Amino acid sequence: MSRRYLLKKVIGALLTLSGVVVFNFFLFRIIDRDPLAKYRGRSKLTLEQRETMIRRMGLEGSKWDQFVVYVKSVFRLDFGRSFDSTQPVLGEITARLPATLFLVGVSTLLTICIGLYIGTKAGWRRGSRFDRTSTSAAMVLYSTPEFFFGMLLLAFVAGRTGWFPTGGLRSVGANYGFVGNLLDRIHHLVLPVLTLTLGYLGSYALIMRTSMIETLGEDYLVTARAKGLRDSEVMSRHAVPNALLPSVSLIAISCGFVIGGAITTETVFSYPGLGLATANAIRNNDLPMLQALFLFASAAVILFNLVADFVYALLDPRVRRAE
Amino acid sequence: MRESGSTTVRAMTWARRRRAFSRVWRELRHDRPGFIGLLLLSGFGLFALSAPLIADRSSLLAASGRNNPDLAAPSSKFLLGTDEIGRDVLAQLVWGSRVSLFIGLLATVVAVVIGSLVGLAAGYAKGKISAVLLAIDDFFLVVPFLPLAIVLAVILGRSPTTLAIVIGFTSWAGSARLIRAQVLTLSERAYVERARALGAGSWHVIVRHVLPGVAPLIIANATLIVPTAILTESTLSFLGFGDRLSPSWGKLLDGAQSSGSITINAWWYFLPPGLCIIGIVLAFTLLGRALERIFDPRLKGR
Amino acid sequence: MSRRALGFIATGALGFGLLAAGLATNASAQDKLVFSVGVTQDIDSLNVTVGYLVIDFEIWNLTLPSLTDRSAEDFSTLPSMAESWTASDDGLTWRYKLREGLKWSDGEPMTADDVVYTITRAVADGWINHRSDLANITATAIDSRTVQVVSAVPDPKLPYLGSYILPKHVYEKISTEEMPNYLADDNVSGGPFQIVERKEGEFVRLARNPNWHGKKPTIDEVVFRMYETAEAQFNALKAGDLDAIDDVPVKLFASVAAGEVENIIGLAGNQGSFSELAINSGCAKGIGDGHVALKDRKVRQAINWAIDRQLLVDKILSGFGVPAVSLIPSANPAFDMKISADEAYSYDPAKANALLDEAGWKDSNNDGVRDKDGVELKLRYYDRSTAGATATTPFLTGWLKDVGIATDVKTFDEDSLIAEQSKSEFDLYTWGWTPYVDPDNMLSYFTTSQVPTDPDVGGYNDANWCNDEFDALYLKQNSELDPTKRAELIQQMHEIFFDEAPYAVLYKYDNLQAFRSDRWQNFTRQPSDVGPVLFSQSSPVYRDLEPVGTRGGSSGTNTMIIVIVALVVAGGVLVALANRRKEDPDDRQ
Repeated sequence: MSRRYLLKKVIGALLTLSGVVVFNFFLFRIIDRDPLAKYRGRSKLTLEQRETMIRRMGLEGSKWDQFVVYVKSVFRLDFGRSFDSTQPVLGEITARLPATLFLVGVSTLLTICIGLYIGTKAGWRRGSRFDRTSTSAAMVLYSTPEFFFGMLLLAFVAGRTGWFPTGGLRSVGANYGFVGNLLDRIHHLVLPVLTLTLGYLGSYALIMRTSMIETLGEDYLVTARAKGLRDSEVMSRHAVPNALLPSVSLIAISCGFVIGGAITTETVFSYPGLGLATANAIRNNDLPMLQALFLFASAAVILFNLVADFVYALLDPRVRRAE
Repeated sequence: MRESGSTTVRAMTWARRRRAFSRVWRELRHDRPGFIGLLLLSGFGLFALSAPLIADRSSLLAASGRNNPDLAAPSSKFLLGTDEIGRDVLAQLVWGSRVSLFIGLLATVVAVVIGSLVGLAAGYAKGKISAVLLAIDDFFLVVPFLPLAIVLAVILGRSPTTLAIVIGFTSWAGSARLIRAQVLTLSERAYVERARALGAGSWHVIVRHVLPGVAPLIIANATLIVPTAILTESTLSFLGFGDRLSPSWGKLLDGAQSSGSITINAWWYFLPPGLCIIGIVLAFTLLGRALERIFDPRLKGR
Repeated sequence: MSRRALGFIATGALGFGLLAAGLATNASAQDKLVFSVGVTQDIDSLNVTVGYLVIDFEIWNLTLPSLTDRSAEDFSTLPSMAESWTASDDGLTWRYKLREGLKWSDGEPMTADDVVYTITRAVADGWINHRSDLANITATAIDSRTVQVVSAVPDPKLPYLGSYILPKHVYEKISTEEMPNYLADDNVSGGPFQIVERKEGEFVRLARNPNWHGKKPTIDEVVFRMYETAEAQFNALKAGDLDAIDDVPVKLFASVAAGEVENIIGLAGNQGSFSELAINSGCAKGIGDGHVALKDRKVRQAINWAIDRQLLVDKILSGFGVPAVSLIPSANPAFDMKISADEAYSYDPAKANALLDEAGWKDSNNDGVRDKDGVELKLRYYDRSTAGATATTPFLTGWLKDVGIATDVKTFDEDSLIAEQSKSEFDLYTWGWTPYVDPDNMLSYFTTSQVPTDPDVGGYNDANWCNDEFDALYLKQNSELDPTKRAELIQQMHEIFFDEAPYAVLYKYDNLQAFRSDRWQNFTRQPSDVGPVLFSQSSPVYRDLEPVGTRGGSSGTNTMIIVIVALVVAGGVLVALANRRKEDPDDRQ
């Protein structure tokens, strides 16, 4: 049974992914952008050179031919060369990937931990002063664009105090040894992580609170409490694990928004990751780069959702039985 | 009897709607966060409506700051000071509220229309159509929303209307999912089954029975899409992909940022648009969540 | 309780361990004299045959040699690779004698071969950054230290020959086909510095080149760091992470210039950079679709009269610039157009309206937009997506609307904008230039031969404007060796350009740069007193910079301590939270 459920989810994810691949092709062919704009008027290309470059970019022949070339190259993870840097796209992306993983990973982890903590506690003690305060705070956080936090942190914390760098990934030309370099990276990461965490903390806390309240309304919990089980036991054994369930998939869906958050946060703090690369690729109409970034981001969200489905199935026996 | 039967039915329907409305109103009045949201929202509505009273439209023109000092602190002449080219910040804020609200509302209409159509169809139709619609919905749920919105905005142009359509087009998937679930539950209700058994066509069932059933949910959901749309618009503007010639709040924040007003501490320039964005998003969110609570008794106490 | 105490102790110990490790390694890193420059523009390409941004030129100035150099004071020609030169009587043939023992940074000898190879290949392959200087030039090696250069026409620029010379032993391995994609990551340098590390989109680090033949710079390293926003960059300077920045937003610069920011000075340098609105005058042959109205000189003049340049200077530049009405062909203001204030274009909407009426464009259908023979005077206005360019757009479109010209604004990235321009498919577009020292280049751009005729090739004449008289004068000044006569010819060209109005030149603007005055001195400007410090024509500042006191450069020691303290605190808070959570439910009972 459970295998069938998982198989169905995997097939669904693959279908969506192929949808993204197809959509991606057409989306970026609509943009009327001269692939050789970079070279125009700058270097004297012969007609043959021009044709070679067009062919290499997979921009030759009918739309169908181009589509076949495109699909083949997607399978080979060959996304061509960036219009802007003229270098292979895959290399550009893998070079920037760790920075973004680091930023998004750390802040997502923080957001989930703090958000879950606040959310469960607020839901558990619904109506208490803690609930009222934390929910109001979460609402305000939720309503604030994350780049606004970023702008304020940049000018008032980094600029005024000099405690944290205003941008970049690391100190240049300094080698502090392994531990020192790690600390240096963390030092540069503090404000971007803070920005992204503040930006998404509110919604995670609210999601978790709602889910806790819903769980608390379930019959078995009411029974458990009525039977005189200690509150702490009910909370940790029954309420929290069950409340986590629905939030798993909600958090997976919100992963798509975090990608958006990475774009603005990396822009504010000149943090050279994939988010900044996306913003610049759009600004420069760098189609091959944009196409690949888009595909990677979608694949990441799909993967995340799939993992969430698996986790869900593992945690909730009802899902296994129902399917 | 002069009244025909159908009028009576209509009158009854209206009476029922009035009752439902006054019930919602009663509950909303006692729902503190929701009521605060409503008050805030009315405040913003009044603010947007009063634009022509507060400042002349011409004070939005670039050259309107001709004789004004640049980045001047608030004074009796400029209640919220001036921007980097000497324009009245208050004038831009008040006219900008129209742009931001317009984009937020139009985007929501687009999202709700697409979302409801897809959700209703996917819920009501069975088999292949439903599967295809669900696949499309899945696709829009996972596609990274902001990059897609930016790409579309860049392709289609940057006027407020296109921005709104783009934002709406990229944010309907969640509502479709919700509405479909609701339709599925409703279809199994006795009265819908009875209507179908009496030979009512699909269209009739949807319009007369299913739609009124899901309408409250659609309204609550729509109220929650508006703030997302407004946030998206401000993000697009901040990244430089918005309409440069309309004074939306996002555009104002972008101007404040790029002119360095935060570093100079020209708070009158960057705080008002920031706070307005927070305020309007908060208002819609509070109200939307309250409506959800009222329409869906399961959520009581949220 | 004991669990909590344990947690605190563990976190504390970890923190102090890290602190010690951090400080120990930190000390060694501070020995070098590093000058860090913030830039908001990423490197386009370090490949001199492809790149075209000022940041690229700055790095080439530091890493690529040339036969001659320019003085920091007044651009006069100085020896560089060449220690001396002689001319033939007709002024067409020049012999350059190279210094003895020149070497590239990798130890290979730098000889006449490198020079001849570069010049020959640059001409054959049409390298963009070489072709205008070398258009009429051929070079031969007499011996390993003597280069003979022959110019087909008398050339007023010679003996100055500043074209970047490339190492033959590196570039001969790269075919013409591969050249556009070449990254120039060989790091072989012949200038005062050499690239030692580059992270794309992050920074470039250059260290002193031990084989440099000129004056030894005091600084050990130059770092260019890329920032996405001017605000982040400025705050980095303020916080001490940077030593110098370019592109300071005007209002921030004004606060620096007013002395409001401690330890930071602002220097506004002018090198003739100007902004303009290009008007498609419709001369492109066989291609393009510019608006018919713009072929009429009167309409173009009307656009010029509709613009309030002084207001642009006041509001957008905060006074750090001057209004301009014709090309600025040179970094040297002596070549600017001479015109009296009452003749020059000024804000006169009435005159603009009169000219448009005269040209037959009237608002016959009362829709607020002028028209003629059923064609509306609605122009496509293409805007550049870089921050500075956009500020003028709302002003200009407003003023055009005031005189009955409607605009349809579209925003493009620079490459795409150039592509549109190469097709001549635009009506108006915003752009700007920074001229070279010699006026020849800038003037050549507006000759008929530079009008695009093939979208694949493009051309510099981005107003699609042609004028036979201007072309003839251009050829004359190009070979006029008497400076006074040349200046007169150029003034005549200005008058034609002004009258024909293919551009609405808006203003000449200053480069706004800011520096840590508590750490550095000797901010050499080029030319002296008025020019910029960073991004000048030949970047002499990096050879002259001196630290204030014993130590310059950015430090990171105290910030390191703070991050560690923050980590310890964060760890403590987390541990405390975890413990509280365990205790909470019991509290309730």
